Parts: sequence; C-alpha cells; structure tokens
Amino acid sequence: MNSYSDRELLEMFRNCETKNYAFNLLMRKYQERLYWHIRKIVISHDDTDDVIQNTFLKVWGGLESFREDSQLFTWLYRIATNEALTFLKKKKTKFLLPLVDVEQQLCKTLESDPHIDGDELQIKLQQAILKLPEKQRIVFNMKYYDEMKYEDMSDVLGTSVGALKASFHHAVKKIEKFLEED
Amino acid sequence: MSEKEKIEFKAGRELPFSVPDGYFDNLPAKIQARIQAETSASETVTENGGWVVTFRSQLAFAAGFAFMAVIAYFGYYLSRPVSQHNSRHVGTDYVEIVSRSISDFEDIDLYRSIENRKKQDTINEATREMYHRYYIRSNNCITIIDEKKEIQP
Repeated sequence: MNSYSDRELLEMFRNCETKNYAFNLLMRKYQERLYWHIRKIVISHDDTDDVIQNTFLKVWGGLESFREDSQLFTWLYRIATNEALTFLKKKKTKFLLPLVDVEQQLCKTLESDPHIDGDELQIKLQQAILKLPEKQRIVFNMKYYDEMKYEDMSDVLGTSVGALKASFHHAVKKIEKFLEED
Repeated sequence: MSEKEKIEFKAGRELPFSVPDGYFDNLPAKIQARIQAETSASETVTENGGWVVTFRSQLAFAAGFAFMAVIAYFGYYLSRPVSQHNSRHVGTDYVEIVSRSISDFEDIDLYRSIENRKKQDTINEATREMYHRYYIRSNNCITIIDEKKEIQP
C-alpha cells in the first residue's frame, strides 16, 4: 500500500480520478510520523487529533501547488509544525496565559492525559523538554526522537544548520542538567 | 559518553505516549469526511450567493458604518439650536438698533435707517410689499423689526 513514491503520489493527486485515492495513501504514509511530531509539541492526544486533522486539511488545499522544490515530507513537517505552534498560540490567547503557564499546562497534561503511559524517567525527560524554549524543544525532538538530518530540519524550520546544531547542543546540556538534579 | 548518550542511557528514546486502539486506521477516513464536508459547504456557498459570504465582513462593516452615520445625523438633528421664530422667516428676520438711548432718538434716524436698509434680502422686490414692519420703542432703545409674511407660491 505504501510502496508508492512521493512523486507517484503527487502525480496521482493531480489526476482528478485518482485524487482522493492518492490523498488517502499519502495520509496513511505520513500520518504516524506527523502525529508523533505534533504530539511531542502539544502533548495531549485530543489536541494532537485536532491539529493533525487541520494539518491534512491544509495539505489537501495546498498539495496541488506544491512545487517539489523541497521534499514532500519536509513540506508536511513544516505545515504540521506551524499548525501545532499556532494551536499553542491560540490556546495562550484564549486563556490569556503567559508562556510559562502554557508550559505548566502542558506539564499537567503529562500527568493527567489518559494516553500517557511511560515510565518515570520517560515522563521526567518530557518534563525537561517542556522547560526548553519553544524552538529548542522542537529542534531537540526532531533530532533526538526522529533522528532527522540537520539539512532537513533546516528546510522545515527555516533556520541555518549551524544555528540548529547550537540549539540542539544547548538543549541537550539543559536536559542533562535537569535529569542530574534528582 | 556524550550528553546525548547519557540522556539516551537514562530515559531511552521511547515516547511515553499512546493512542486509542485503531486510531491510525480511522484517521484518514475522518479527515476525508471533513474534507468532503468542507468542499460541499464551499460549493453550496458558491451556488447560493458566494459573494455575500466572501464580502460578509466588509458588508457588516459598511452596515455598521451606515447605522452610526444615521444615529449621528438624528443626534445632530434633534439637538440643533431651534430658532424662536418661524424657521421660514429666519433668513430675512431683521433687527436693527437705531438708537441706544431713547433720549437721543430722533425720528429722522429712524427714517434714514429704513431708507438705507443694509439687509440682504433674498426675496425679490415684489414680495417686499408683503412685509409687516414693527417699530418697537422700549425703555432705552428703538428697534425696527421686519417680519416677513408667509409667501404662498
């Protein structure tokens, strides 16, 4: 089912007769990677569900004009990241929360969400990641969990490779310090 | 051991998150249902006066502006100063002080004043015959008041 290349999927999508089928295949190919990427940013499963649906709606609207200058998956990651960050901003505006309180809320979600089932150290690592500034948090997640290349991360986040390396280095140091505290 | 490896050694790279059973099996269908709903909604809008929806915010702004303009006009209309005289006479009402003091008043001043009228009357000469003229003599001054009759077309 997932044996189609991105190029083949795009060609099928541009054909009216196979458009829906191609989009279905594309969702099945990328839904898990995008879901986990979003989940690491917004933490709650329900919020992730909202964000991933909005992400794919945006992809549906923009895929026809996708110019293939970048890889499809970095383009999808970019949309997903923007949607997740927009979601957090809306949440902050809606509840008139300062940034620190958003982090606290995400930490509370770590304790209360029914779809959290890791061990103590995994939860502690997530808490440490939530203490990082937003950009560092995303960079750390993409490098540590997704093992993404810096060049691809640069394409997704629009930041230079050097800055991303520095960002990841700082993030690792902070997390290591946080984990050593206990 | 690098710091990254230390973290990996302590906490691993497993995420402590889970999803409901069958979530990824149902997600594409859920998204496609939303896409279809939004596509058919936008088609319905296009068929039923899409421009109204497209310019809805601009129309609402224009309607609000018109409403405020009407309110402002009525506010001004109701609070404007109203003349004590009949408004049809305001343009030609005419009061001229001939003398400040009754002791200095002489009839000749009054005649001169009448002859050398400064009034810029917009009514043509023919209608002037229709004026009532009042001369008022009060305690310390004499005034001439011209008051125009209502002119029927």
